[in-house]
Amino acid sequence: MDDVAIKPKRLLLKRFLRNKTAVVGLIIIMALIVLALIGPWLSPFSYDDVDRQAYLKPPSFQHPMGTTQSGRDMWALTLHGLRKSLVIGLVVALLSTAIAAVVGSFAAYYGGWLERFSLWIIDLLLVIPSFLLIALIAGNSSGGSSSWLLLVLLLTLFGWMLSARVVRSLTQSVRQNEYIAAARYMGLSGPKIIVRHILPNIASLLIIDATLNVSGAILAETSLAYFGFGVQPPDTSLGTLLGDGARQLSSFPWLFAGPATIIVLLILSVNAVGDGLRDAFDPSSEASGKG
Amino acid sequence: MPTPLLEVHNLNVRYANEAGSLHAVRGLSFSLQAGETLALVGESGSGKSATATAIMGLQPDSARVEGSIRLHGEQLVGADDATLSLLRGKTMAMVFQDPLSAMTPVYTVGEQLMETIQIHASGSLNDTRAQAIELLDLVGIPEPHQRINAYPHEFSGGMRQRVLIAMAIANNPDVIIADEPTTALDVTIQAQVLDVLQTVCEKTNAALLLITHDLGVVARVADRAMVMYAGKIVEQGRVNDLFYNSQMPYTMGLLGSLPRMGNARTTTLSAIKGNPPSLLTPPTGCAFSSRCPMADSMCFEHEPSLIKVSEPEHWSACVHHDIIKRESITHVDLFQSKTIEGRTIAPVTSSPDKNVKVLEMSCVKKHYPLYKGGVFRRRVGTVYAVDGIDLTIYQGETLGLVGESGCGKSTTTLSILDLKPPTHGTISLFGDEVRTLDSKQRRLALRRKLQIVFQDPMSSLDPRMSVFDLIAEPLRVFNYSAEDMAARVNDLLQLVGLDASYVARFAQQLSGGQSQRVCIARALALEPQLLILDEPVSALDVSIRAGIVNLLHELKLSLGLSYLFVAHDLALIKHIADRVAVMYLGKIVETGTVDAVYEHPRHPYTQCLLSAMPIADPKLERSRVRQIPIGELPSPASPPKGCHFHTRCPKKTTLTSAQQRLCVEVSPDLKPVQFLPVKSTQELPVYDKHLGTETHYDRTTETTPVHTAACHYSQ
Repeated sequence: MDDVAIKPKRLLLKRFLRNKTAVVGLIIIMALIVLALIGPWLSPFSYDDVDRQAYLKPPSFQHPMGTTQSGRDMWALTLHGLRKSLVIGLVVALLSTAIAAVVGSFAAYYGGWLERFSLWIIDLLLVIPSFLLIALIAGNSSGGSSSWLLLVLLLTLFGWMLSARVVRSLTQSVRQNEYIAAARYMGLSGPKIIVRHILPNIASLLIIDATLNVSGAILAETSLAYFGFGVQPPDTSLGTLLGDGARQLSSFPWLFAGPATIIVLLILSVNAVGDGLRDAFDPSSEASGKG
Repeated sequence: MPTPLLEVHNLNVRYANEAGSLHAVRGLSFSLQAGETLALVGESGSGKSATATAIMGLQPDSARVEGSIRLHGEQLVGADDATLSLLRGKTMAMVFQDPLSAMTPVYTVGEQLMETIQIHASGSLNDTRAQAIELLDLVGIPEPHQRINAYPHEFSGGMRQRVLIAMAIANNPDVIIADEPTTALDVTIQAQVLDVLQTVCEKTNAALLLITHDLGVVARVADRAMVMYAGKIVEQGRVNDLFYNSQMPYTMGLLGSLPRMGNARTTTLSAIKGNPPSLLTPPTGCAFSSRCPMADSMCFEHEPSLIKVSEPEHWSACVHHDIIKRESITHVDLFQSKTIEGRTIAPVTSSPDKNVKVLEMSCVKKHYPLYKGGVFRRRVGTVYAVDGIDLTIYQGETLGLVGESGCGKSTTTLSILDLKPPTHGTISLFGDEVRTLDSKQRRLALRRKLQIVFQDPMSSLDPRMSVFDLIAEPLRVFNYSAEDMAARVNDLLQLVGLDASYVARFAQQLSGGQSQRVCIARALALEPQLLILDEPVSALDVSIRAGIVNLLHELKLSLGLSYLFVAHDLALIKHIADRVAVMYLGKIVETGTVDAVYEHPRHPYTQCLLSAMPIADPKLERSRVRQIPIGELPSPASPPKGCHFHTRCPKKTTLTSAQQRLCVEVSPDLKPVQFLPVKSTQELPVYDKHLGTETHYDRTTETTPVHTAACHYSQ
């Protein structure tokens, strides 16, 4: 029977590949990442160059996506914005999932006052109106080229709590397994048990969660930027571009169309991949297991 | 022969899953007569439950059912849900394995029972209610008038199973299918529920199809039995023929693998090697051939069909049935081996060194507070999980700890392993009192000598680690070098009878028996002296158990280990233990050498346990006089005053009311009932403070009692 059994990783791949939406999503994400990486070489203009011959011009041969009011090339801006949004999304997702994993698993494993204290912090951060707070802090910062780092920190600070709760409840169920007790009676210390036995066994959730957090972070940054609290000029992100473009949507639609298409594609693909991963990891969920 | 009630012909069930099509039931045929009890015996994965769900029409959507199932001549295969719904509950009914999840928690048991009645019969609400109360009374629910308004969570597992039986018989069905109805229950409750099931079947003249893996249960209730292996019936016949004159090597192996109460302890159990085949790729020859000691080339060529081996109705599917019959081959000839994985088994006797105590617990209590409320938690009570126990294990000795679930066995083992001081009392390991362990190093040093093997091997192996990493994990904690580690893991695998090629596998690629061997290897990695075995074989299939038990026994003798063997299976304890301690509601009620306790049980609870345990011997099992405790296990949060057992004690009812008062008021201590026999016996009076009398024991100048019991009237 052992030889017939399929290796877990191959089974996972098989299940993921069966989900066509997720595969398409993955391809789109890959394409967008490649686009963002090679962006600077795809256009003769840099995102902060100003073309004094073309202010607010519609798409042309020289500027395939038109130019802005200040004469900047939309194509270069969009690619730069995509890069910034992707970086923000990935860094925030990684950091917040890491914080969630540590806080959630330690709280659940040790229980007692540590758990109560962590839950208290989580609840506290959840009831604070994070959007307003981030807007205030980020809006009042001095700006400059590193302003997006502050934004990443703030988004992380307010983005890990829900995942931490899920990690905590999953840890509680993994902790019931006898291999945890066996490890304890072998003399393994608590942190080692968490790192070696608990986290690998909830890795599937962490991967899914990190993926979905990417789109969450990008959207959060976008909505902040829309109101002018996001990445500060001259730096730009998809959200900043959207915010600027939306104000002149009816007369100069090219300012809005490009960034909007990219962000919709990006969020849809990330979510599709996240759902695909979830179905692949959990065969009992609805969408998989047929055929 | 009268026309059968239920006739199954050439039934095939296939499940589609990720890995392909699983052929769970392969050409099953049988018939069931009115009023008959037919047992379907098999290990997990043999297709028993697939058969039951196919008959009821309750198979999952991924299953394909082919063949013929006729109930009163009506074809059920292919019938639509509406047709089947008219039959389910009315003509055929089912009792499920897990009583805890078989009822809706938001309705009272009365509502659910009345619903069952009303679906198939019209009657006024009052009539239905009266009928429901009558049914509850029939299945032995005390005070049915009040209890009918109770919710399922207010009932214990045994009580819920009774209610489910009441539901099953509510509409006087002709066929009752019971799928492992007592597997989830404790042995004394199992005896009660089996009694109920038998009584209701007699009263309603219903035919019972009993699905079980427990040969003791079969011996007790069934008229006929079918043994199922890899989706096929391999032997079928009257219970006596099957048990005393088995004709199929698999049946023989199953029977031989059970520890018997009567057997001398110098024999090993018959272990069937290997694992059942996967039904993803159906076997070409006899499904059992790869595990069968009699197998030859003929067995691998084609699958044998059922052949009548003796009158009136004994059928067996074995190519060699004529040889078996001619030479009257039994399991002893086939499976009784003197070696395990190539090593000779020493006779099953051990000589504990009475001078070295590896574990000594004295007056240990472990209480847990019960809290209520969220923010302002207040203590509302105490769970007396372990309430003053004394245990000693000598070097090289196996102490069996027996009791029903909830009696405190697990708390006892965990309080030893925690290496923390208990609520009250002292625990000493290898001469070190736990309370004096001040440094991490000393605690870690003690850890090495003390290891545990858990009940469920699947849950005790991390699914993300390979066998090598699993076994090497304790070695890593103690900083073994990479070379030493590899060598040690190899040795350990060999020790537990696994091939060295297993190191790269993951837990889910192992069978239950192999997983448990890995667990044992891991526990032995640091060369411990005391191994705590918490129900090490109860999660395994019958044919796998014997191999593990033999292995444990052999390891103990060759490595000089001491065991604390926790189990609920009394026959198994008798087979493997030197001494036994019987636990009830946090206290030890009887302890002594295995021979003394099993032959002359002095505490009524031990007597009950022994008589409730099903024995795989139909004649003995049916002729025994049973002593079954009354009612259910009380909550350990509010144990009865006086003797904890007095609320259920069958002996108490035979006492005078003055004598009974002592049971209710005074908690009995463990008192010696037999001492180590030494030649120069002299009678010494012992003053009993509770009875106020002097009792004369057969005692010697020796002070170690070999048998003690905590009952005022154990004499």
